Amino acid sequence: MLIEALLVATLLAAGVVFFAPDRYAGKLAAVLSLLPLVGSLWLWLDFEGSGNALLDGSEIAYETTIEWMDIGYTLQWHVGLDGVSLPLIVLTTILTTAAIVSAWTPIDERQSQFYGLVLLLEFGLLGVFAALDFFVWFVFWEVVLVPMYFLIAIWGGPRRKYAAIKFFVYTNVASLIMFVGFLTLVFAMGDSVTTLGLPEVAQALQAGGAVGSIAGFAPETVKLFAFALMFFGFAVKVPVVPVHTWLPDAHVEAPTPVSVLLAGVLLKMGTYALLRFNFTMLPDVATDYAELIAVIAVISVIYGAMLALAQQDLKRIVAYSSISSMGYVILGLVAYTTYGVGGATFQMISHGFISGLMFMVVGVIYNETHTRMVGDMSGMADRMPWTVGIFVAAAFGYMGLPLMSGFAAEVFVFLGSFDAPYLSLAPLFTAAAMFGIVIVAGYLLWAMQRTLFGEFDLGTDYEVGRAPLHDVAPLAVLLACVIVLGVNPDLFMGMIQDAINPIVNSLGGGA
Amino acid sequence: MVTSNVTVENTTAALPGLVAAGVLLGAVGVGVEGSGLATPAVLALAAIIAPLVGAALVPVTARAGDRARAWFATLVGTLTGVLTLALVPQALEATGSESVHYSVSWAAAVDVSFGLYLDILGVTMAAIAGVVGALVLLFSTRFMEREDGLTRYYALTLLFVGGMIGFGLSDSLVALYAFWEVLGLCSMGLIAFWLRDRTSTRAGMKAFVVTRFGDVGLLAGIAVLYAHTGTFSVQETIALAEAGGVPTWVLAWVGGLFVLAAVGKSAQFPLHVWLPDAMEAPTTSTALIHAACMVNAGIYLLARTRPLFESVAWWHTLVLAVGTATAFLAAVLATRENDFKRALAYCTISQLGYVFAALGLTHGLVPATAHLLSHSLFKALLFLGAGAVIYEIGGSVHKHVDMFEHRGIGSRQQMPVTNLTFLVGILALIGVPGFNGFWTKELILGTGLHGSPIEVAAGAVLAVTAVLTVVYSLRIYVLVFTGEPSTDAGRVPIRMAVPLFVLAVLTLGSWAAVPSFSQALAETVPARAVETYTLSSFVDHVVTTSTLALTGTVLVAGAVGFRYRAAIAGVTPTFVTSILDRRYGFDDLYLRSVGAYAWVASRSRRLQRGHTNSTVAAIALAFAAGLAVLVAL
Repeated sequence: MLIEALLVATLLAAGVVFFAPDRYAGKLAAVLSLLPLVGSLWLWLDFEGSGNALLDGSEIAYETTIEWMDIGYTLQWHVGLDGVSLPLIVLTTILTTAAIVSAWTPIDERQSQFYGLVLLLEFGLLGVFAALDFFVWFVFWEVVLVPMYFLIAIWGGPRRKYAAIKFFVYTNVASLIMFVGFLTLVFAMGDSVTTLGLPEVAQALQAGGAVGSIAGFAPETVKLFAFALMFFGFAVKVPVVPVHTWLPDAHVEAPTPVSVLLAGVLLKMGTYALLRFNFTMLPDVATDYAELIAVIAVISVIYGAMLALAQQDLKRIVAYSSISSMGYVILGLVAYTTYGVGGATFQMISHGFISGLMFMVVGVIYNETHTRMVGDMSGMADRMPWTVGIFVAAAFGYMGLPLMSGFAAEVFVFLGSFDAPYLSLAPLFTAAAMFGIVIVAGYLLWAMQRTLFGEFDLGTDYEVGRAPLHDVAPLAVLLACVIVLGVNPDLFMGMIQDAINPIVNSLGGGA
Repeated sequence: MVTSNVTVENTTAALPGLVAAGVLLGAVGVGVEGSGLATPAVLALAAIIAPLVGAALVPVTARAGDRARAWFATLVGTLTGVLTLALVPQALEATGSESVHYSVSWAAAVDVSFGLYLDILGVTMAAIAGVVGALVLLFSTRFMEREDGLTRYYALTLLFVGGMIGFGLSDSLVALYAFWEVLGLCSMGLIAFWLRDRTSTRAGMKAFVVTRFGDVGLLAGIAVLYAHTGTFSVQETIALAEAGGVPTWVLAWVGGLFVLAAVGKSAQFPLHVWLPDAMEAPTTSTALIHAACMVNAGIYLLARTRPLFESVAWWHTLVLAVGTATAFLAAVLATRENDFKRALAYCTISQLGYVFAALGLTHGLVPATAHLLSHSLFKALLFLGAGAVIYEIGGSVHKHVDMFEHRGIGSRQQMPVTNLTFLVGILALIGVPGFNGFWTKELILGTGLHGSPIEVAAGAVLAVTAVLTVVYSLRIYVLVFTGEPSTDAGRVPIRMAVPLFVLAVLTLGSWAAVPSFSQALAETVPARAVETYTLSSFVDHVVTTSTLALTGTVLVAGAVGFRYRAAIAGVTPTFVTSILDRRYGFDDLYLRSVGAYAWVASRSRRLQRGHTNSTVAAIALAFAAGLAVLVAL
């Protein structure tokens, strides 16, 4: 019942904060968000699960199953954690608390509603990662969209309406397509499954022969159809090129704390779902079309990095580089090796912390300067030494320098994708993706050189002083997470590997 | 001049600190020795960890004042240097089988572990970094005294030294890559030391991005290797390859990728462009980059992994060609460069070209690594000498020194110590008998000229390059260190003179270590072609009539070329000089390709704009079409 307690606590916190007076809302939200944070750390310390929650022979941690009603399929409340979802839960709670504290400075109206929605968002995110029944999972998946929409549309920048609608349309259409895809798959399976539980579906699919023909289409075609629809649906969320265009707009218009959660956790919903649905349930389709998926991944890496190079807005730079980083995740997943899939999962966590940190540090600079344009400022290092120091460290994390979590993630992904067993020309794809690490160094250093260093100059009329402590403290916490994970990836890597090995082994792939 | 007064005063004040440091070091040494804990593995770990911890503590000591910070860093640097030297005796005895001493696991779930391998090759690299690092730090205590931001400077310097020591002693490819990145990071940070100066930060960025291409080579090479060996240990990989356990095509790919890595890190053509700009760094940091830490790493990588590529037919030729071309082309540029530090930078590129080329010779491992040792010592000497001159011009920030503008500043009357020690470096560089550069350069030339036809050709080019070396070396020395001084200068402060003196002594004597070095190398490097020498056979081997004749010819030709350089420049065709003025056009080419890249990127941004509905409609249509095609298939 620990997961339920976590969810209820978060939801209650959201409700309390929503109706609290504006003056205390920020601090109250920060304090209440410690509940899920401490709870998730407790779950992590006490974790005794093993294996992959979706596949045979696993020991799902904190599992609860309650049958609810029968509509031809048994609908059930089914939640539980394994080595893939637990790290994402920890990531979510840490980032939410950090984001709430970082919102104290920039959010100056309707605070109680803002913080209430942020906690509601956290509630949805935790549910997405904990759910093991499709129905429950889909409800949480949609719950996430609503607070996000309002957070962008109410507290966003000048073009917030446009960005919010674009975000909602894109991700909602994608949800619909994915929904159709999954249901097609389940209907084609006929009597092999009696519930919409993800483990049941996955295990029935693994046993083979479960998918029948539907409307005259052969089982193989049905599987491909379902795979393609789900892949498309999740790809919008990730996002990959060419369905990424909602992301920069959403990021630029969203207030900083919301960008932090958007980049840090919401994008991982896409890759998490890809791993759970496409790559765990339909590995045969994934391996058949491995080259196509790898092409998409590599294009995302390189094209995203190129777009980042062309930006003048610091937030856009980080936004596009997220697309690039998510490309590594896809590449790692399609590799189907311990290093590849494990590295991809680790990259989700690592990128969550690093991109959240990057957005936050850009936000802190914006709080003081009221600009994010590269051409508008230079020499910030003189005025905001600590903030700039963290900016530099975060950028190095992004570039994958040793002892930062990005290093471990990239090295694992590359090692894994080089000898991907089902991907022809794997070395070529990997080598192409590796040039992403040259470009990322290029655009981050270039932006830093122009904004942080040189003689101090500012294009806007603001007095720049040091950032307040409550702006810098969350930065320091996230940076500490990045470094701790970089020094000791085993904190998560052990359980991740334990959870993804069954996927790799189900294909007979080696390490 | 009042400088000498100040020097004396500062020195006396620093003396108690030095004495205390010495006593402390001695006590620690005796304690460790007596307790029997001083196993090589402990020493090696201490040598890696001391500078890293020291770097982290620099900000703390900064609270106790500028002087405490500087001396703390120097102390840690000295301790590190001593520790690396303490590894040498054991490494001279080591045989391959007993060299792996220690391993710690990182990311146990996916089997990455870090081990140490303490053979003479790696220990030499570490010792160079440790000793030069300590001397550079001592030099810095005076040289950098007028700068701000010294916490950053000392921390990065210690990290840099620690990174190189770790790189030299690690056996794990993942650790090698990690330390390799640390080196890139530190050199960027030190090159961009003057953060408010745009040229500085640009140069730092350039160094990082250009060498990043090499990083990709290393990472890709490691991934390819691991995919086929399943181990990250360099030694296990070599053993596996020797036993024929790794397909040749894999080794060929890895060979190519590692050469790319080394070309970037060790500033070989065509990725050499970052090194001349790296003179934007404080001159002490330049010395570290050129002599101890950064550029040595690429060479060491190839020297270490060379046994893997014995079976790759073209590998040696590729390395030989890259090295020879670099040696020659950079030497030509050095003869025309008027900036003191840039001229020395081209000299570094050229000399590293020699080492690179030697690695491509069948019997080249000993000559290459021996010359790398010589080069490290005399190049550190030359750059610190340059630093002494720059200090007199007006302090560390005066990094651009036009040799014509400051003619004769280092003349013997004005700066006798600097002048003489710099002369030692120059004589070693041009290979005058007796100095370390003579022995090792002759070793390379001799090995080349006695090899296969292609090696003979390369050896001939390198011999011609030696003539160019004499020309530019004499030019530098004559311009800056002889004649009527155009700028006043005082004597070099004692804390800067000591490192110069130590390096000059080492430059004179380091060649004597080559024989025992070669014997130890033959024990631990399973290459078929490591030539070993005893001291007498080494002397007999190098000092022959033919090498002496060659040396004599080179020196005379160089002197003649220097004497008539104006005439030679006069008859050089214009198109040649215009190519040389553009430095072969590499920088232009790279800038233009970055420009083209940015253009494509900004163009493709247009795809991002537009109306949401139409975008969604277009994507949905394309998706439906794609799905239809897939289903139809």
